[in-house]
Amino acid sequence: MSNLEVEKKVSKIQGFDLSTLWKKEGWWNVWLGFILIIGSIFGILNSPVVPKRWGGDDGGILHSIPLELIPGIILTGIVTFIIFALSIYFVKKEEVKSFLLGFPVVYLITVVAYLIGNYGPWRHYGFNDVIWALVIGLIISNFFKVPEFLRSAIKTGLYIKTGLVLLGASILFNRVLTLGGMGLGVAWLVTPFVLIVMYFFSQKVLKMENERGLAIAISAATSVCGVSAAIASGTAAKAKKEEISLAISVTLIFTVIMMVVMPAVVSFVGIDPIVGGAWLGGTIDATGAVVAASSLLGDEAMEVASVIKMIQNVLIGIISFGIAVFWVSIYEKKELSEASVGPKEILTRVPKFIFGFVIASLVFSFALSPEVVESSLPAINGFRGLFFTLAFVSIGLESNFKDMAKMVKGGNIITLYLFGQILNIVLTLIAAYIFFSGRFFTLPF
Amino acid sequence: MKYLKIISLVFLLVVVFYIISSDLGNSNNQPSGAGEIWWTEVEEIEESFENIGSRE
Repeated sequence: MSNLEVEKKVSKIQGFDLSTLWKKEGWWNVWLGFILIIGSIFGILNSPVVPKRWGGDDGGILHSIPLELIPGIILTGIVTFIIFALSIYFVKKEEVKSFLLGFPVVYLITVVAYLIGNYGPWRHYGFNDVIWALVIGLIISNFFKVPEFLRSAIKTGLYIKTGLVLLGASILFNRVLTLGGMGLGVAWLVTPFVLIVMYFFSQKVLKMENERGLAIAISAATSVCGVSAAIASGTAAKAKKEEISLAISVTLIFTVIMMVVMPAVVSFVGIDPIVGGAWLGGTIDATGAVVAASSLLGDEAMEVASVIKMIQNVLIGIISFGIAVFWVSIYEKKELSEASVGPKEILTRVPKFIFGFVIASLVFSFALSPEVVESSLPAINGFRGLFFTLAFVSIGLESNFKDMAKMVKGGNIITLYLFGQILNIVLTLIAAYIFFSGRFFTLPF
Repeated sequence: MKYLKIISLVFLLVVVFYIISSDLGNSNNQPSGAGEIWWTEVEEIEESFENIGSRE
């Protein structure tokens, strides 16, 4: 980096221009998230309409997208377009017209991803809308040429960060004591420890200095909650889009194995179902897979596993905030060579969605009544899911197989995942035994 | 070492393919699966939270 570039960077962080609040996309992630959240709280916005589940007991493909659903799907597309066009209008007015041309195609691909991703038997094994969005995007970008007019609607950062602000609304801190200190003992003691050790291992042993985004995304996915954690932590660390995609792919492959093998191990070894439920809840990455696996151990085990997972999911807020601050204060400080990065600069340089994410979480945890939270969350979560799927269509359209293959080739990803997951499995089993066997503490139910 | 890594990766993918093709996870009789990535997508999480809360 030249001296001039360094000076520019330093001068930028010394003052705060108020117009950045409406001229920078980073802040618009927050405003759009808040607009949607307020709209949902006041009942102005309903859940977005997308193709429904199908396959198995849910019926054929016509059940997914019956004729009466089509106006709702189109209306959802229009509302989504208006939301993002608002940000583009203030940030880069001249792009609105080209966004209008490209967005319908990106949205159409998103609807197709929902349609395929909602096929129940495949979805059960992780092939959901997000994965299909990525796959379809990758196929288009690697086997055909992405048309120029489409590029204006490929806005990964805008979609994903707005989605993350919405994700904050379902991180409910007021629920972390549902199982008393026992739940925290399993979900909040082991998780940060595994995350830190995994990241340390990636840097000091595997020497992944050039793949820090990938390392933190895999570490968070393994220790916290899979796909969502990879998205949130990777975005907080400003990871490359291919790094987040790879972290998600690896976590899903192992989730399929763990979902089937872990309940079998619990039954085979004769572990108490409550301890087994706590173990599964703390280790299996995807939330749905936790419920599926623990249901094989009985109702009580499933309840413990579900609540442990819910408590663990809350950690994603603290961890993402910590990662964003760590990245700015440690790595970006180094990039600025001699320049110091104090608290004010850290706040200026941290990705803005983090503020929206934390504020949404605090408001939904402590300021709103449970009835308001319950009534507004479905719409907020629906839009969050839609924005993530739009983001992964964009990621696929921007990525190429060669870059992803390079990252897999070294084998570090699998080594890091296996190291972290084995550590996670062993430590969580110990914690589950200590807190849920009834030998050391009285069970809270 | 290089071949060991490749063999491990292939073995891993074969195991995953076997689990999915044989439906070892019993997709028809399970309440949810690996496709649900966040707790709000799984009804059983909220139900479990309420059940445990009412018992305490």
